[in-house]
Amino acid sequence: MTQLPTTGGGIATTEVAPAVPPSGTSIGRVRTALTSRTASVIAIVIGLLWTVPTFGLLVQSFRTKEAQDSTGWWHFNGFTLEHYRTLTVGIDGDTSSSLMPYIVNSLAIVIPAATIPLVAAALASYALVWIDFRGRDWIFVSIFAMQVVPLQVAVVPLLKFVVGGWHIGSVAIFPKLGLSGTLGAVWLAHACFALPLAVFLMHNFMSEIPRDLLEAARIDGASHGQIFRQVMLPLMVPALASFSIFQFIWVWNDLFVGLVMSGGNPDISPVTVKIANLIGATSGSGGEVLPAAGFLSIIIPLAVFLALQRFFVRGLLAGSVKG
Amino acid sequence: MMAAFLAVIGILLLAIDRTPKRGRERWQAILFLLPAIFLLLVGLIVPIFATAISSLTNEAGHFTGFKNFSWAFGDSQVRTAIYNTLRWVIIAPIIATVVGLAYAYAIDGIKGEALAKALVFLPVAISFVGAAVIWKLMYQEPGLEPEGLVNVVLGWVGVKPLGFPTNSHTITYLLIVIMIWIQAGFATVVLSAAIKGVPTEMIEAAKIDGANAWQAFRKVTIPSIRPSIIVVMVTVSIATLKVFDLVQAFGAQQYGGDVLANKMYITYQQAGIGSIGEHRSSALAMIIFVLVIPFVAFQVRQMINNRRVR
Repeated sequence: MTQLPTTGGGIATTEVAPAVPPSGTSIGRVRTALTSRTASVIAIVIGLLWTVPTFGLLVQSFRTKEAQDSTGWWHFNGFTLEHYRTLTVGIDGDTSSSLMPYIVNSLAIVIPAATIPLVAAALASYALVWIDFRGRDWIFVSIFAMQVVPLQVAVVPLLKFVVGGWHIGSVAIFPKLGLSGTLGAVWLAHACFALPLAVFLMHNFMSEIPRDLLEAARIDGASHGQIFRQVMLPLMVPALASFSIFQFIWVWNDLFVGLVMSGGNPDISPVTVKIANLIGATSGSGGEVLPAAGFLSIIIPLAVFLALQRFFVRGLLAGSVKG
Repeated sequence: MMAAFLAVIGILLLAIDRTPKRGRERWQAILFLLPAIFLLLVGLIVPIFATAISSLTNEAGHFTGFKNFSWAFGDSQVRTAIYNTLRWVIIAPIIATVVGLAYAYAIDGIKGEALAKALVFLPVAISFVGAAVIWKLMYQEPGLEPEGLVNVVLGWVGVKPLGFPTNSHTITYLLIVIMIWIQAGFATVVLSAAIKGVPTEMIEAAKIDGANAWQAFRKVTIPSIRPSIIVVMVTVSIATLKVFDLVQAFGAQQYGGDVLANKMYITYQQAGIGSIGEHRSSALAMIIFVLVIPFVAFQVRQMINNRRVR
């Protein structure tokens, strides 16, 4: 089993770049002195432009209201932890402005919203790659093509389905699932919208696994169910990780689905909805916590991203297409 | 619900092992595909028909042809939103790709390349809403609060504050800057991988033939990575067509900075249940749908070609 592409390095190669050799190959690259200087200038300028805004927010989030109101963040004055305290444990027992309930909501949304499409897509792509039946290529291409449906088109009918099931006239053809006003509604929406990409990524990955392995297991009398559980799933860990991170960041950062599916109910609103409201409401007082709130909402996906960037990039290169 | 979902999957896996012998492969395939098909049906296939029908009917459920669409194209706010959306789609993908390409090429092979790449890639993990908070600070106008860094820097070169966020001439461009800031990292990562795929020998051969670095870049590197450049542009274009969060977070619709996706949401949100507004918002959603089709069609063709190569 050791010769299998268990590191999953293969899924990226053919989709985007003609070839992606490991990054050691550029050592032999030659450049004239002049271009290398131009290149350095470009690199430094872009590097600065891309990091200064976030850094500015970080600094601002630690400054007192007085400092924020009188000088720019680059003065680095008026240090305080008060905003972060207001947004987490609260001050003097007043937790009414705490961001924590929304962060908990986001976590409660993200985990199932990544797991459900993960499982559904793993099963589906197993069938599409390893079971011979007529029309399977056609089904795969159709699923991929469903990325054409924008969230804006799909989300309102989905909300109606969640609230009332499906009817033709007054005849119910699918009962309502009792998800209305629950986190389940938000999970369902994210799970549905993620499927085309999930199936695409896993299909790519599974196609790279040598056919012999499956055939050997079949000859030994293993059923498809057994092969999926005992052979495929362990091999698919890199692809599963790649999709999970992708979906984690996507769902955490989503505003549209959260806004429509939660219908403004704070009990199931993700942190992005709360922050968007804060931005709208902070022309007057309370604006001083916004930088800290923004930073708190960013920090979790950023940490996940930094820790697991390798998997994320792999997923990105394999199918940078998301609905 | 999570438990229910896992229970369903468990039962499914058991059922797969107990399918009838006749036509077994086919039964198993159906069971494997069942959860995915269900989710697609509920979340994408039925909704697309529902929205299409909704866009062609009125609040009484009568078929009214393209009346909701002619409302859309006649409404000055929608026209502004369409015009702005087109500006977004023309500007953001091109600049994000150019910046990503320049940066990927500039840092290729230098010391600390991984770090340099990570810095630009970070905004990819930041939500549009988070980015809105970050850039609100950057764009801050002098007045109640001190001016933001952007105005300070513009002041050095003698440009007066732009009047963000209420200036209808600049708001769309200032939001596009944020979009580019978010998407350039994606472009950098994909194009950097592509650049590393260009054989060094090809570039060296061009140099031996007397090409300078810029010529080698233009005549050898760019043509070699063209497929990746197109993929990046198409992907960013699709994301840009659906841009919503940034416009919503800045409340840009009040200052002439609206786009289609946001107009669709606002029309939906302001409509009473069963009012004509719902049907109009469906029409706006269908316009986005039609605009996205060519880009996704390209991706599908690309994917099929790639499969054929294998």
